[in-house]
Amino acid sequence: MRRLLVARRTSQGLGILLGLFGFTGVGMTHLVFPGLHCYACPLAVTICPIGLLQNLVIYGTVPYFWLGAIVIYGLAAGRGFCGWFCPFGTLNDLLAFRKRPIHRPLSYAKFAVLAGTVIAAWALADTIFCKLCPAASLEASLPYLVLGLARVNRPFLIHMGTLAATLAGMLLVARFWCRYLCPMGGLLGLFNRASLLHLSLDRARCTGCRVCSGACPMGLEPHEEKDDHNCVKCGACVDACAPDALRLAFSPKRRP
Amino acid sequence: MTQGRLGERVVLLALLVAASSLAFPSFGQDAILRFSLPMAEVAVAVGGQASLRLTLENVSPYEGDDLEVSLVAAEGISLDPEVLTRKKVPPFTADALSATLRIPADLAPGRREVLLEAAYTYCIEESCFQIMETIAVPVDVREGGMAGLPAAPTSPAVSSTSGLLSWLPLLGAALLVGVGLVLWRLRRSTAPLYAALSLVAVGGLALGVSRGQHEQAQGIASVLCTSCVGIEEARHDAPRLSAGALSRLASLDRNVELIVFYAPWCHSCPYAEAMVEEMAKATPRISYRFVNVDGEPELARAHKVIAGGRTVVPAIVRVDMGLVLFGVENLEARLLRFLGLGS
Repeated sequence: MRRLLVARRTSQGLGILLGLFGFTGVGMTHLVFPGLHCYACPLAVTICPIGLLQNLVIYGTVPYFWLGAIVIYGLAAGRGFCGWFCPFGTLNDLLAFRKRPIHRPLSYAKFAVLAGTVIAAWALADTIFCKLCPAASLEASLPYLVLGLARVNRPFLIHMGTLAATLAGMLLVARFWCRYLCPMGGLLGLFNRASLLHLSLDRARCTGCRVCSGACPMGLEPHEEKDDHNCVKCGACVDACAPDALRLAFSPKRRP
Repeated sequence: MTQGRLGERVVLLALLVAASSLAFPSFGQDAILRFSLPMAEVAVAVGGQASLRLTLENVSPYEGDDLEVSLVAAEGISLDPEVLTRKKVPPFTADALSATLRIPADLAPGRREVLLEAAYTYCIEESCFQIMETIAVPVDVREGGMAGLPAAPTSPAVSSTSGLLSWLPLLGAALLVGVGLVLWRLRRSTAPLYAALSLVAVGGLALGVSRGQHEQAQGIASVLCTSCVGIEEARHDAPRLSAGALSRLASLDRNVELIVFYAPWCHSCPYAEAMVEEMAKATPRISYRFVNVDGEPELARAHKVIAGGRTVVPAIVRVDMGLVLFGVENLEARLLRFLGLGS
């Protein structure tokens, strides 16, 4: 019954591998990462979309290259990248012990974080989100402390504070960061209802048992609100569905 | 053909026409170089001199040629060298021009505005344009002479015309997707939405690459500014050497050459540059130069301005010993140790 889990873990492993491919010495590429992965990470070879967006706002560059990359990712899988590829999403996934129902109004906070990130970059000409980002705390601040470039100072402690708070949130609520705060999740979520990768439901088979709801790490009701902007398309509900009513499909055939 | 199918085809044709706006030319006869001063003003004593650094950024996909910057109105203030030049300014690159402002001894103290004139050309296919632009530099001529206050880096202002034109393709993209969404909702037809999103994706990437934005993105991601990602706090204040530092610098008994590697968008780099300038003022033993890592990545690599696989700025290199100092935190003490003057 856990047929998608192995595939997902493999894909998540590939996401981490791509994120940390710098150990091969290939250097920074032109590839925008389809998730939240800090480009300041010593081993990063890809560009963080949120970090790049802030810099482009500061520079006053109309972000066509960034937009093209985001639309391709959004059209292909939407938040499927959160469920299947993003390294920070993987950390959320690995700590997803308490699958509580989602707090729907609070789930819109990630759009506020996204808007706040852009507004702060424009107004302050600074990458404020990067200085608070828990992915950067984990992937840049801590490695640079080990490498001797970072020191235990106020910015470092702020990073550790946001990382600790986020980890605590993840332990208390499954995929806490993905549900409520991730700006990249908000961005990809805009494409969720249109993306080629989507959940499909065979209503004739659905018994309404709600086992899928109990399995969903995002706290959704997959049989009622498939492809909601919060759905990370991880397929946990598909694995849990005994009558095979839910299916993860990759096709343009869908209904709004 | 049913009326519905005909309508769908008309809409798809409209989408294609709207998509053509993605290729709308956005430049021509507009300034492509942006100039800014990392210091809020240049403060200098009567009869003295002060360094002037002018950062420039090419915000276009076109190459700027034969850039010359010279003084046009200065009340006896002179520039050394008299003309700052760059043969070429590649697309989407940033650079900096450095010179020394000399103040005549008979000039009355007070605030002035020194005007610099920048002239350059650029070509779009067969059409070439000559641009002339005047840059005002606030200069505070004082009895005593002090270092200028570094200002926070500011987002360069886009000239209004080129700015609006640059946004046009984005408006076209929004229109495309908007129409696709409306059709999806009203007619339950997904094809126009997928067509619109595909056009926006391909058009966005193509337009971005044609404007060199992929290189810009790689440049942003490959150079690590210590204050930009929160490794340390940005410093925007003017460095003031302590009395102890001045006496230690006076005891420096060998010549030391320093290179300060910076990036124009780095928040703490002006502080590191100003600190080295202050130390060089305190002793003739220190010589220095500033190098833009965006413009000279090979030199940065040669001097190992790299930590954890990333080129890091600000970085101060002591040339004779091949040592590198990163960041600005506690810089006075660390730089003194770097010079062999600290415990």
